[in-house]
Amino acid sequence: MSTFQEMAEAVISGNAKKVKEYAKQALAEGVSPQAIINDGLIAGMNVVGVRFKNNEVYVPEVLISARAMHAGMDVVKPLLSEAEVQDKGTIVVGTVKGDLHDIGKNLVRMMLEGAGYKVIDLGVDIAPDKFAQAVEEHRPQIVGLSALLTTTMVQMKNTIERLKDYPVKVMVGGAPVTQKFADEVGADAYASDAATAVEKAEQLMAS
Amino acid sequence: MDRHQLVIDTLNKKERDVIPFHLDLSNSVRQRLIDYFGDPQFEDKVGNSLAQERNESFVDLGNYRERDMFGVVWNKEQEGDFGVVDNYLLTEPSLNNYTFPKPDEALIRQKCERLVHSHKDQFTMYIIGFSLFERAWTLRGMTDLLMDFLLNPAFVEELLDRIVEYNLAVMDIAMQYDIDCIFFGDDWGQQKGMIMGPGLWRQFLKPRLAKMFAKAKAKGLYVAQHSCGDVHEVFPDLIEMGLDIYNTFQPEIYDVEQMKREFGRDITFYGGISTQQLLPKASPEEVKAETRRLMTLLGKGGGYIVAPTHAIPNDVPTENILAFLEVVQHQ
Repeated sequence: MSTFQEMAEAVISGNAKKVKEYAKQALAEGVSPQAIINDGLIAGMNVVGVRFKNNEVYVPEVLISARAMHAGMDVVKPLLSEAEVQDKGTIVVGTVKGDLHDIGKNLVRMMLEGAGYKVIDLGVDIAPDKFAQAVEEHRPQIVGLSALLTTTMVQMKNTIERLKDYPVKVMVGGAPVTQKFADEVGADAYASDAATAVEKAEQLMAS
Repeated sequence: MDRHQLVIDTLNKKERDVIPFHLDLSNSVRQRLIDYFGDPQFEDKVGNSLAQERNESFVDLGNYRERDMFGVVWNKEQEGDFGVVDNYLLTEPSLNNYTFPKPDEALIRQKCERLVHSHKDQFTMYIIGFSLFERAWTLRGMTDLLMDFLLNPAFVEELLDRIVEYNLAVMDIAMQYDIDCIFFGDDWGQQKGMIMGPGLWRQFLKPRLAKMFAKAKAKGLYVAQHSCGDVHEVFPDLIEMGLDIYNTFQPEIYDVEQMKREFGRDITFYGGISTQQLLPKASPEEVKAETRRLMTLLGKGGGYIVAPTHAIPNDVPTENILAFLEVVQHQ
C-alpha cells in the first residue's frame, strides 16, 4: 500500500505515472479524495515550492511536478461533488492587455494550484473589462496580474482602477515590476517570483 | 579616432580616456529617430564603436505575422516587442517531421561583405541570435522544452546538436571574412536566476556553447554572448570557455560593482544602461548621471562598452536617448 509520503515523493520527482497509480490505489483502499489532494498532492507541491524558492530546483522541475500533481487531481477530482471541493480560495490570473507573454503567469498559476487554490486563468492580452467580468463571474478573493514588458505594465494601473469597486485583492508581478511600482499603482501585493506569489496569496487571504 | 582599436584595447583591459559605445535600437525607435534627425543614415553618424549584422531574415506574411528562417511564425501585433511564437513546429519530442534549414549562404555573404567594406574603422560583430536554447524553445515551445530536459533528454540533445551544426555552418561562411567577433544571442536568465538552472545549463548547453566558442577562438575571433536576465551562476563557466564579451549586463539585476571586481579582469561588459528601469522612466539628467556613473565604475582598467541593456524599446522618450548620446559622444 502506498502512503501519502510516497505520493508526495512522486509529485516532487515529477513522476506522473506513479502519482496516478498511488491515487487510484489510495481510492481503492477507501482514502477520501480530499485527503489524497491535501496530504499527498498538495503536500508534495509544497515541498517543490520551498525548493524552488531556495534555488534547489528550477522551472523544469516545477513543471513536471505540476504535471504529476494534475495527473493525480484528474483521478480524484471527478469523485468530489461541487460542495466537497475545499479549495483554499479562488484566484483569477491573467497577463494584462497588450502583452502576449505567459510563461511567468503560467508558473504562478501552477504554484497557486499546487498550494490548493482554485485558479481561473484568463490567458494573455486581458483588458481591464475582462478582468472585471471574470471577477463578477467567479467571485475570487484575489486577482493576479502579469506583465513582461515595460510598455504593458502600465495596464496594471488601468486594471486596478477598473477593479477598485470589487471586494477583491490585486497582486502584481512580472520581470519589470517592482515593489515601488506595485505601491504606485495601488496593488495590494507584489510577488517577485512564483513561489513568493503563493506566500503573498496566503497573506492576502489572511488579511 | 580609431574606434576599432578603442574596442580592442578595452577587450584587452587597457584603459583609454574614451570608452567605446553602441546605440542599439528597436525598429520603431529607429524610425522615430530617423524622423527626429530627418536623416535615414543618422545611425552611421552617431559614432557607434560597433558594427553589427544579424544572421536572420523574416518573410512578411501580413496581418503582423512574420516567418523566420526555421519556419516559425511570429506574432508581432505588439508594437515594440520582439513578438511571440504563433506555431510551435515540434509538437512531439521528435525531429521526424521537421526538416532543418540550411544556412542562407547568400544572406550571410551579403551581410558580411557589408560589415567588412562599409565599417572599416569599427569593431565588427556577426550576430547569431537564438543561438541555442532560444532556437530550441521557439521550435518546441518553452514549457515542453523545459520538461523535455528531464523527460526526453535524448531528444533535447539531438535538437541542440542540430542547432549547433547549423550555427557552425553559418560560422564557416562568416569567418571567411575579416570580421572581429561572433556574437551569440540566447536568453537564459530570469529577473532572478536562470530559467533552467545552472545544472541543466551545464549538462545541455555548456558543452555545445564550448564547441561554438572554440571554433571562433581557433580562428582568432572574439566571442560575445548575450543573455538577458540573471546568469551570474555561470559566469565562471563562460570565462572558462574563453568568453570575451558579456551583453546585456542589467544593473537592476547585477551588483555591477561586485561583478566588475569579480569578473572584470576576465571579461568585457557590454550594456549596463537599463532599458527596464532607467531609460523609460528617468529624466534626461538622471540618464546622463547614471551613464557617467557606470562609465567611471565599469570603464576602470578597460573592459567596458557602454550601451543600453537591450535594443531600446518604444517606451523610451527621445530626450533620454539624446541624453545618453550626449554623454557618450562627448567624452
